[in-house]
Parts: sequence; structure tokens; C-alpha cells
Amino acid sequence: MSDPRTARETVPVLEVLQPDMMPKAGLELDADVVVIGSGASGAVMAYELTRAGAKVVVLEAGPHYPSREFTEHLTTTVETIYADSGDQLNKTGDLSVLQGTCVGGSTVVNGAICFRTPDKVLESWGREHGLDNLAPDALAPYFDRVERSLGVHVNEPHEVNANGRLLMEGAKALGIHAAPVARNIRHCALTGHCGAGCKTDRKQSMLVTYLPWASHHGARILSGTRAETIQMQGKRATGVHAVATDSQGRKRPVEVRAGTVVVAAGAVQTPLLFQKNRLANSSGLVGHNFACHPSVFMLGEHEQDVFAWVGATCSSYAGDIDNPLDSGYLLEALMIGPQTVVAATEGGTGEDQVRFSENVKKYQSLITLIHDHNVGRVYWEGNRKRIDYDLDDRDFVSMQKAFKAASRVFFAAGAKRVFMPTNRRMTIDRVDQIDSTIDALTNESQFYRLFSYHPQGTMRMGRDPGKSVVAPNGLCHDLDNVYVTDASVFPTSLLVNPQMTVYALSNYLADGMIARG
Amino acid sequence: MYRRTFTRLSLLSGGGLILPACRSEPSDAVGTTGLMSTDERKTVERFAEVYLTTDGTKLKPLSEVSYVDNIDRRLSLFDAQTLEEVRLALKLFNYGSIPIGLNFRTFVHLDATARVDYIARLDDGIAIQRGLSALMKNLVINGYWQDIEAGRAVGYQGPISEEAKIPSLGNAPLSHAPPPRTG
Repeated sequence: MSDPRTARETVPVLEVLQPDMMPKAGLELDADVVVIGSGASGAVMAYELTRAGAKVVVLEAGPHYPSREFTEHLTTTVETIYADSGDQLNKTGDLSVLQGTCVGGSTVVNGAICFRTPDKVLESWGREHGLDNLAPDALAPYFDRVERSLGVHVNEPHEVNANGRLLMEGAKALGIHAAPVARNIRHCALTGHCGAGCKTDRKQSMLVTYLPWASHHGARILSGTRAETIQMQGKRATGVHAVATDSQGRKRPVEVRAGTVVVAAGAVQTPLLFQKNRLANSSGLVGHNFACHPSVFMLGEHEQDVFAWVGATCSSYAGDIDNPLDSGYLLEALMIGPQTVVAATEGGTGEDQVRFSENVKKYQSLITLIHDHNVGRVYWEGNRKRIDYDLDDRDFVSMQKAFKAASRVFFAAGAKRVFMPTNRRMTIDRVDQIDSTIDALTNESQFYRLFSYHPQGTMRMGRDPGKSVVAPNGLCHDLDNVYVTDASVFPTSLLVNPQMTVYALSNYLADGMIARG
Repeated sequence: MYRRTFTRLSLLSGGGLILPACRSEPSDAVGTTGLMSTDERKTVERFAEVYLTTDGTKLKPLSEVSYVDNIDRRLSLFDAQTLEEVRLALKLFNYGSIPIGLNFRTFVHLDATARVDYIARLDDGIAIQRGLSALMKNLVINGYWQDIEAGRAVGYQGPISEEAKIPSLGNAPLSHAPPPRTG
């Protein structure tokens, strides 16, 4: 494959200060703004603020892995750059909350799926949380700006693989809206390894876009450096104390004095930092209102080979994304490889498991997303973080709706059998079994193979300080100069993949900060 | 609502009822982190023998995959508390066959038919039992399939970019970056 770049262009270098390079005595830095986290929000904040002339320091707890070190081997990637080596679970232990913990955050390992926030979600935020500043028209220019920069485009026909085509064919036969998905990617090599990081830098993650751009304009980015304390004088933060841990496990103190603190560590780590510091919690809501789009993989077995992992990791979607609030669901044609399929669905024991595994190339694969309620909580239990989240009975109804839609789509696309996402083997072999099988399911723990890539909502944004933690401009209600800008501020879940919302919202909030000086 | 009835903690406290006499000796297995005890390794192996019966199939033979070592390495990444919970769960899984009437034998001492029966009973059981079964499946499946050749045996290409010499595009050029705000 030839290199599609032809013109000579200025390519910025991402300079990251790693703990091994730091003086043993640690570091003391001065900045206008210290940004905690380098994922979707932190990277955009860092670039926009640096570009506006601010002196910015970014603190990232995770390591820096340049793309050339990616292995395209999911297991080693998960162990290396996912939170808790991929074993970040809810307290019940039956839902895996997957997050990238590295320079670039989850954008490094996501499926590059791009949706704007559904209008009805933004309208509900205005109506119910006083966020009329985030109306669809107000955010549209920010979506435009980010989409242009990240090469967001609807998949071209050659980027829609067999798995994606089957989803669209099945959905359209049933009258369900379906289309190719939009992705932030340029010249996709169609290797299907998005989940393990894009080795050839085609996915426009923060690792290869906003962070190098911010670095070029002067932002200092520190990896392996975990923010521990937000230093306060009254209601004003004066800086952040962090700890850098080198490759030998040695710890070095990092002190950043700054006039403004931006916390963008994600919906799990951000509330934990505030709780540890006992900050911004007059509402009592720090860590509350966790939501996560609980998801499952579903499989439809075809007679013919599908090779669902060949091509774009995600190539199409189906569902009524314009109406997410009424038991909304979304189906995305997505597969990562046999390991994921076999882990996400139970094929049975012994011969059943073997046959199930041997047929892996015959499976059409979908993930389901739902618009879930904010029923969870993130908190400390001693020194241990906890994610207390169990699927709400109201959301189980949405889950069943998604199961039924996925099953019908599979059969309409020609599948002969559907595998349910349960811990014991459960199949649907005929269309007329769909309703009875799925209606008989109950909302029980340790029964479904649930996962989430989309933690949200633990630092709720709203106009009323009694009912929210963060004001409409991103400032904590209780503090003068501490902002929260990541997905933790979402008042509700979105239904759609959140990365575009985080980018656009962060850009909007950065503009507000710049305007206020 | 059933979900809240049995948490992971209840699983662990329940485990205490039948485990006080269980002891684990460190394994002397070669080429691993040596974290798992001999009993733990045996529990996993006896599970995998009936769960993933690869002999004579298209799948890479279980005996040729270092799945237990892979599990051992994965466990070595856990924090101490999580690791302790997993170890307790492994014991609970092994000893759990005693009180449910399977000849009063631990799982590792059951014959293949009884082991399959035990797994089925757990799958149909209460949350704590389903959780144990799910954990064992998760460990074995992940331990087995992380072998790249296991994937290739069923048609998965695995890592491809280097082999196909796909060039890196590098960082996005500055011309793609959003322009500075004016006014």
C-alpha cells in the first residue's frame, strides 16, 4: 500500500515527558492552566487553550505508547493500556467498564465511531437541567470544527464490510433506519484493529491529532503522572500535586502551579479525584448519576462465511438515533476478532463450544447500545474505587427491545441462528421464537455478558447548584477556577457513542474560558 | 429486583463457609510468573479439559496453547484485593461441587461427565454460582484465544500491518488543526 500523503506538510511532533526522563527530585512547573487527563476532552482543551496563548501543562496518569509500539494484538493492548488491565468491573462483577488509560485516553482504542449528540438529548438537557446554552444550534459550529479536523466522514462503500452490509440489508428489510457509520479516520487501511490502537496512524485519535498540535504550540504533556491533590486557597485552586511513577516503580513528585485547573480524567477518575480532595460536593452529587450505555455482542450465524472482522471495525449502524429517549437502542455492526466473539457470547460446553468456535467466521456481529438511566455511582471504598451500577429494570426493557431488533435483523439478513449474550448458551433458531425467548428473560445479575466503553454522568452539569456539580460554563459550582469538561458532566446518557459530544463540548467550554480571559 | 441480591462481596463471604481448610502451595511451574498455585492451575486445567475439547477439531489443540500461563500472567496484573477475590473464587469453584451432591468430591476429582454436569448446574444456579461459572469461562477463553495461532486456525489473520507493509501516516499535519479563533 502506498503512502497517500503527497504534499509536504508540517507534521508536528508529540513531545511527552515520561517519568523516566524526570529529575529524581521531581518537577515544579508553572502554567496558566493545568489539564488533568489527555483523552477526548483534555486533548481538545490543551490545544484550544494553547492556541489561544495560554501556557498549558497536561497530566496523564497512563503511559505514552507511540503507535509504532502497538501490536495489533488485543490482549496485550488491553493489559497494557486499558484501565485496570481491562478488568475494571462494576461492583457486582458482571459489567466490564473499558477505558483507555494512556496518552490519548480512550480515543486510542475506540472504534472511531462518530455521532453528533442527538438533538432531543440536547433539548432535554436544556429543558430539564437549564443547559439552554448547549442547544443543537449552539453546538453545531463546534461539531463542524472538530469533524473537519479529524477527517470525520461517512464510510465510503469500500469501507462497509460484509458485516456492515448484512446489518443494513436486514434492517432495511424490516423498515429500521440503517446507514454507514461516520468515523474519524483518514485513508483507513481496513485492518480491523481499532480496538488495539491504530498502528499506522489512520484513526485520528487524540494521540495523533490534538495532542501533537497542542505540543507543537507549546503545551507540556507529562505521562505516567497521576494527579493526587488539587491545591486550594479558599475557593480558588492554586495548582495540582501529582505523582509520577517511573518504569522501576519509583515515585517522583510533580507540582504544577496554575491559575486554572481543568479536570478531564473521564467519568470514573474525575469524581474520584474530587472525592479524594473533598471538593465541589455541596450538592452531594459528586460520583452520582453514573450511566454507561451497557452493551452486549449479539451474533447471527450464517451458512456462508462473513469474516466480520475483515475491514472497518465498525462500518454501519441501525436504529432510530433521532428518538433516543423512548427506550432508545442502537445497533452497530462491529467485531474485533474471534477472541472477542467467543468471550462475549457463550457457545456451550465441550462439543458445543468447539463447534461454536470453529464457526466464528460465519457470524454476523452486532453490539447493542441503549439510552440508560443515571442510576450508578462511583466512589471510594477504603482505598478501592467502586463502580456501583446495575442495569435498571427500566433499561432492561430497552435492552430487550435491542435484543429483539438485533435478532430480527439477523434473520432478515439470512442468518439461521442467533446467539444471545448470556452466560449460558442460549440460541434462537426461528423468527417465531424471538418474542417468547426474549420476553422470558429477566433482569438478573451474572446472567448477561455486559460491557461498556462509555462511562458518563458522574459530575452532572446543570444550572441549579443544588441539583448539579458543574455549571453550564464548565466551572464547578462551588469553586472559582476549577473546570470539569469530560463526559462526566453529561446530565444524561446519549445513546450514541460519546466521543464527538466530548470533543465539541470541550471546544465550546474552552472558547468560554478564552473569552473570559 | 434480583440483581442486587448477590454481589461479588457476598460471593466472597459465602466462600468462607467451606474454605477454611483449603491451602494453596506456590506452583513450581516453569516459564510463568509462578503466581498460581498448583491447585489453582489444576482447577483451571480440569475445567478447560471439558469446556474446550479441541482434540480432533479445527481448533488449535488445547495442549499446544499455554493458556494457564496466560491466565497466570493476567492475574499478575491484578491489584492485590482483586487477585485475592479471584483466588477465593477459584477455590469456591473447586470446592463448590462438594455440597451440591456430586459424590462429595472437589471439581478436580470429578470425572468428565460430572464436571460437565457441575458446570451446567452452576449455569442454571443462583447469581453466585453463575458468577463462578462465568469467571472460569472468562479465564479459559481469554487464556486460550490470546494465542495468535489459535485465531489463525479459524481464519483470523491476526496482526497484519507490518506483514502487509502498510505505511504509517504519522501525526496529522498542522494544516488539519482547527484555526485559531479570531476577534
